[in-house]
Amino acid sequence: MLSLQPTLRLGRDVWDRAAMPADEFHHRADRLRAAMTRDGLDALLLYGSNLNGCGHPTYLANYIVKLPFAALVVLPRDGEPALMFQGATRGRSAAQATTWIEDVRPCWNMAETCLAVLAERGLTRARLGLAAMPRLVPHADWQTLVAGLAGATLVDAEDLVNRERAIKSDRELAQIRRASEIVHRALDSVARPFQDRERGAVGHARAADESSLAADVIHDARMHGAEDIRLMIARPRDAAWAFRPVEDRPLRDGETVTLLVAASWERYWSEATRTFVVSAHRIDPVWPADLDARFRALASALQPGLTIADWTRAALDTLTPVEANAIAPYGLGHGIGITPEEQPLLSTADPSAIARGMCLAVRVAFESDNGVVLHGDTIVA
Amino acid sequence: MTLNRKLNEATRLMREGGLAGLVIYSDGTCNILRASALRYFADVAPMGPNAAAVVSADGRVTLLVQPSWDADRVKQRTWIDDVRGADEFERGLTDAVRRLEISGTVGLGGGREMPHPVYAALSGAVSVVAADDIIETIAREKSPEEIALVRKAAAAADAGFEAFREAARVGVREYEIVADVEYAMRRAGADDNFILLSTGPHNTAMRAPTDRRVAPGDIVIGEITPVCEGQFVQLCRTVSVGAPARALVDCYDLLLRACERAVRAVRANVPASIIASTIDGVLTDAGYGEYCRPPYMRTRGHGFGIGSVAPGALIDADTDRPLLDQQVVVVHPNQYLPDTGYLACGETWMVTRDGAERLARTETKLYVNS
Repeated sequence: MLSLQPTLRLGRDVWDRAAMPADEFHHRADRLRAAMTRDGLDALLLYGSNLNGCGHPTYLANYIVKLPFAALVVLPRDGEPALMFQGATRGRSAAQATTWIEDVRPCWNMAETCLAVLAERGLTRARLGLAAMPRLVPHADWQTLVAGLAGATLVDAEDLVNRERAIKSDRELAQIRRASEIVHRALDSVARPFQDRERGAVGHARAADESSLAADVIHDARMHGAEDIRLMIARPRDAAWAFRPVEDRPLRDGETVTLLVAASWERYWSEATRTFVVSAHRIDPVWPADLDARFRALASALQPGLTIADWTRAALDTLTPVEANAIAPYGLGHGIGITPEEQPLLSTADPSAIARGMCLAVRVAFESDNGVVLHGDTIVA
Repeated sequence: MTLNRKLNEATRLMREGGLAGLVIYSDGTCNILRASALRYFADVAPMGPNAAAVVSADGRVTLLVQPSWDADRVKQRTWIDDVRGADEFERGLTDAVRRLEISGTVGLGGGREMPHPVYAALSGAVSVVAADDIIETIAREKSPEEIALVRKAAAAADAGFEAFREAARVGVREYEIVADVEYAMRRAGADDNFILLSTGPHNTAMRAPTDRRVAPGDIVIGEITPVCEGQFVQLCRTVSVGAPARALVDCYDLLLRACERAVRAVRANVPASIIASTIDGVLTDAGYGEYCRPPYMRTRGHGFGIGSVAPGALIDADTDRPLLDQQVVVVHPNQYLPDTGYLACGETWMVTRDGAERLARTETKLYVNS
């Protein structure tokens, strides 16, 4: 789900070649090239920017931006790809340690560098497929690109890339499952402050305020290798509640709080949502068996063959009006993978079929004795 | 009063610049190198992917935010009364311009972040010129609240360094060090963090953490930067794991001398370049002149955020902009030296009329963990 982006992606940054070998990326390049051939494209430009929106270049290159800057991969149909990223030249060696692409170019002027790469490869008059361009490209850069590519044919090819990204390989699913373990463990840690936290719990029965609770959860995730983390809180018993970043508000006996946590492990994200009740000395999860059964039924219905629209309509039909209103602003979910929110959106307007290997962050609101309980998890179709 | 000052100053500068309106845009990021003008102006961190304040010349303001469900949070945090969700952002932006009866030339702050489709929609409704200077000018004077946040960030930095020093021990992985530093700073009130580090017997730069475990004889270097509501403070620190070699002690003393001499030169109205020239002078006199350039070093210091000297960019011998009273500046002779590898040494200061005020409390020195 959308949330505040941090100033820096500051967690563990490792490319484990056993878990995600270069072959995986070669296969992705092959599949994209096959689609380019089908669509008559000479090259694909995969653009991304910021910590939430850099999925396209990461999908092909494995490179991630640490600061909220931009990255771009040029993938010729015939020839080797090039990776460009905004940053100082001293960042080149760190980038090369996490990508299989040999032509790595740190730069500050992305448009000029892109034009130089295309010129070197004889592609300035070619038919170019664009992903996230100009959707995410700053205006000044786009002007430079358009002027420099006056002889080229520019074609929107983002759907082509989204289709490839939406179906996860077994290796990608393994990474997402690892991310899920981190997320679940971090959320479980809310209810066990004394049992296995290495540091920081002495003298605290539980976190006294939202910021401290977030610090505890984030620390647990980082200690288990989270590369990046997002955390939002909601207080669903408040009159006008909404998910939001944590504040210094105290956690008082009897209050209900919901945490939405997303974390990434070696590029791959997972998201989960849990609701808790605060007591004097503890914070305990609220998740009675009947609600668990309802959620499992919804999740298990995410089967290949059904359309996204059909599943969404069926899911909404199971919700009471109060439940449907509670979740309406956020929707029932979306794809998740290299970015915390990606295609497809779980919407009644999406006629595309659910396919094996799709990975979806699903969230619901259920009524209970504790009021509205928000719950969610990452589900593989 | 502070909030009215921002709006009053903005409208005054708009009039001076002949602007009929001002759009201050954010893509939802707050970057240490490119701080968010909107985050400063509206006193709230936008979530994004798009947000903008639209200001008319007579002082009416609309704040547009995405996603729409975030509008209530933003209303509670900002001084701007008219906050609206704008899931269809381009239409929301042009509607706001029309509703505020803005016609003619509009200044654009944060335009470097603005994606082409948003710019195209805006420039289809009004004539657009860059106006980042307006927010930069307003932000040069810090409010008491902003100075309090700087001090809060400094206290968080001290807590972060204590955690860094405690964690920099044999067997601890790099990412575990970062986890502990972040945890300590969040517990001390930081809402965000910027942390780079490196471990090893001969480091070449600071970077994101890996799985590497600290080993005996390592040098652990870190750049610790907590953020409190958009205000940054940075400490650059070096810890020797085990008794330091003579060369390490000598080289670190050299960096400390360079740092101390540069800080003595800092005061309002002197060119910022004095920081770089002083540090380079000390290192050159010691025979390391050839290392006073990339890739052996990056910069001798920088400001933080909106309104600071050379925000995000380097302070070098050509930075002729003067330091100003209340600017928050890090002075850091972070440096690769052939005898030791890259070393981190630096401290954040608030510029005053007659000098510089140290913000953090932990001592700047070579630390040794047994």
